Amino acid sequence: MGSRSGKRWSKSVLLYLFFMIAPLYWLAVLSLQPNTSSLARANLAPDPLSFENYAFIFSQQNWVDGFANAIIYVAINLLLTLVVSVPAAYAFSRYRFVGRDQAFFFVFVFRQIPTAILIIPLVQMFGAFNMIDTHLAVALAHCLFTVPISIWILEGFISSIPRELDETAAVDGYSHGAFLLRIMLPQIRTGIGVAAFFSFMFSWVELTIANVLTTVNAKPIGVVMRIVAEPLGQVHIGISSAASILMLFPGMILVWLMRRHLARGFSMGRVSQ
Amino acid sequence: MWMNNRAWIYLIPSLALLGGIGLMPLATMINYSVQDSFSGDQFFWVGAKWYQDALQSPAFWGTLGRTVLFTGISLTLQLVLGFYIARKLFHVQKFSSGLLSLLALPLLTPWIVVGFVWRHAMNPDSGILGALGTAIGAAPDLNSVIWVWVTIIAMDVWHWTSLTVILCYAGYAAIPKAYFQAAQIDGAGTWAVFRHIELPKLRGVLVIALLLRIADSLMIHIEPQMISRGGPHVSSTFFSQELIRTALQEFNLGEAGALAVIYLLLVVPISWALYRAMRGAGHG
Repeated sequence: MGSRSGKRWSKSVLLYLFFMIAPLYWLAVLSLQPNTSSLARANLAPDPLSFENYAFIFSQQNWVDGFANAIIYVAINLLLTLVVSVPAAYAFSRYRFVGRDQAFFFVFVFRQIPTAILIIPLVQMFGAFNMIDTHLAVALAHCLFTVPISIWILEGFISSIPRELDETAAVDGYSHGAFLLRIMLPQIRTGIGVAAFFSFMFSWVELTIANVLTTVNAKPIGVVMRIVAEPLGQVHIGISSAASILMLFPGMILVWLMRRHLARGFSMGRVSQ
Repeated sequence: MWMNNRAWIYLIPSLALLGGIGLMPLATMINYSVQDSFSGDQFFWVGAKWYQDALQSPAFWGTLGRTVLFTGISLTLQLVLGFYIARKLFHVQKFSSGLLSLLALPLLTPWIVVGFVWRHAMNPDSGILGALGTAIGAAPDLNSVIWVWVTIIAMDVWHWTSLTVILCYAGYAAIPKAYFQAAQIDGAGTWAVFRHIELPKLRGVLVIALLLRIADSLMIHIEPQMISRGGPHVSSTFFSQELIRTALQEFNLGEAGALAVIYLLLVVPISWALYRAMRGAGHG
């Protein structure tokens, strides 16, 4: 334990970091060289450097739209998720009521249902409401997975805030709604960030549901990538890599925004006792 | 805790959303599981036929066995490696909280991209790992069962270990410094500190990591589909891949429904047990 004051670089951490970053670095290399190079040999740096893959993507309306579509339904999903999760998390944290434990597990179990089970009935249901190929349909379907995890995370954060805060606010004349919005929300900023991180970690990366619920207008870029790949019988390495790199950017921005909270925030207010 | 059934008012939006979107599809699948269909729109009752067929079929048990085996190997590696890296990050590493951001990137990589990059990486000529393997005389071959499994497990460890790292690091950061100082004064060795302080304090986050990972791991499909399309033969076909094939390619809704119900009967009790363990380890 003597090393706690003098920190250094740990070999195992460096090795692990290399393992995490190397595939993504190589993906960037693939995206920045012509496809013929990618098929011929394994380059450690782009040889020759070329932006033709990116140029192709940005010249194709369906690829650009695919990117926008994914961002739109993820944004709708995040908004819906947080709006319904905060009050639910508050109830689970502050009240003891009949069926509390069962309701909490009921909510959580939706997170554990495999997407594969739901695809056919979801298509039928959204089809009946004429909602196939809308951003809202994908966002709503993703809520099945993002709402449970968000309630669970936010419940931990709200529980770590002393109950006296609620009582003081009530004495000061705040209504419940005003209290939640103006006093509680700023207190659980980190929790909102972590909940958004986990929601994004599902909605942005998931494609099975997003694929079956969309045809043209709401198709996400990941599905466009697969459609273009499959008729050719094999994947176009260069273009797919460039699309992949573009799909990493929203995640990078999110990680950057969350950088101060990654260390402590993910204890979810649960392990600090 | 305030005893108050008005709390249900706060729950209405979320329960309505989950129930409205989730219950109907679930009920539909259960309904399909006891029926057979002609041309997709004529249904008739077959009772437990699909369940009996599945439970008596060696193919079903093979798929289930592979899924459980994959989940067991992959989660063990992820939890052990993740805990170890978090421990090193906390005790030894400089700038550790900054590094966490970099480590988190695989978690936010679209699943189709994960499968894509790992498949191409294993190409014996032009893949970064494949070319390395070829150079040292061990060329990877995605037509061999062993190589497919090694690739899928390495890919899953790459994809998800950082979740355990982040959760465990948060667990470490929440241990009061006084614990470590007291241990140092007592002259406790590394193993004693690990065994009596770190492990008990991190039990909660480890259960959370397991709870989050186990369902996802049992339902993995996009990534192995990208790597090997379930092959060679069926040697890397997992439960969700079989389910999707049955439902979308064979369009056998009855059998798919039965598989879905069996799957839920498997996952829900596991989740419940872990959920109880988590509530016990946390504050309840």
